[in-house]
Amino acid sequence: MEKFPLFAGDELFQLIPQRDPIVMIDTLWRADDESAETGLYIKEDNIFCRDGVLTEPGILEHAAQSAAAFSGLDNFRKGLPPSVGYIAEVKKFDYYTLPASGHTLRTILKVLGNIMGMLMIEVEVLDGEEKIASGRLKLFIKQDNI
Amino acid sequence: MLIKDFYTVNDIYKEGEETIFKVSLNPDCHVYQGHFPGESVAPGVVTIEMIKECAEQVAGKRLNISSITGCRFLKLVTPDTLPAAEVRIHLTLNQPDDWNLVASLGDGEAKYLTLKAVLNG
Repeated sequence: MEKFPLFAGDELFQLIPQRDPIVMIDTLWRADDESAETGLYIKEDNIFCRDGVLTEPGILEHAAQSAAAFSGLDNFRKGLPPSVGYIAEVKKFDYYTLPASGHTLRTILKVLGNIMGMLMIEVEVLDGEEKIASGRLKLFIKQDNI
Repeated sequence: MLIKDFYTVNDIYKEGEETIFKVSLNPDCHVYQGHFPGESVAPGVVTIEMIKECAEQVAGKRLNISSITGCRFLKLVTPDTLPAAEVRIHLTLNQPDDWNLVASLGDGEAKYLTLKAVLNG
């Protein structure tokens, strides 16, 4: 486990286009061409929290923004602003537990395909050692500001 | 409603095995401040949540998503391009507390989103 993240807190705004109140990632721990690891501390007042737990759309948005950060890193290295991206497809995304606020998520993302603005990933979302969700996402990354 | 003021339900009726919810998306919902600044796009996950909340009304109780079997986003949903939308819900009880959901979001003609999910509750 890395001690020092690549990007944390507001630095993530260099990688993702989302802003308050829907920022669902606060750390990029590491990234290479085929994978990345991200994190999120679940604040009690998170827009997707209800009754002290992070609900299903929040976990999925966290996974999607993890992919956005992975994709944004490419732009960042080229000196470009983050591209806007949209979820195109969700496939077999399973939820096992809804994590409590105050917990920190850690998410492992594997790239299955990345071509012509279509990014396909497989994610595993962890709360400590426990896997709380996993599945596949396809994202469409808008290219027009490049 | 999890995301306050995201939508309003204007009408609910049955059509065969489906329940139709006529909804309007509210362009002033605060989620658009961050998604995205200067370009309001309905977050896909929030539209899934809206569909789930419609399914909860059909079931008459709170439900959790245990699995999104498949969800396709066919057209971009924005409060400007889709101010009046139609959510179609086909919810069947698999076994006690275990539901199958087949749903879509559209404008009455074109579909913007299709969703298959397993719900629990």
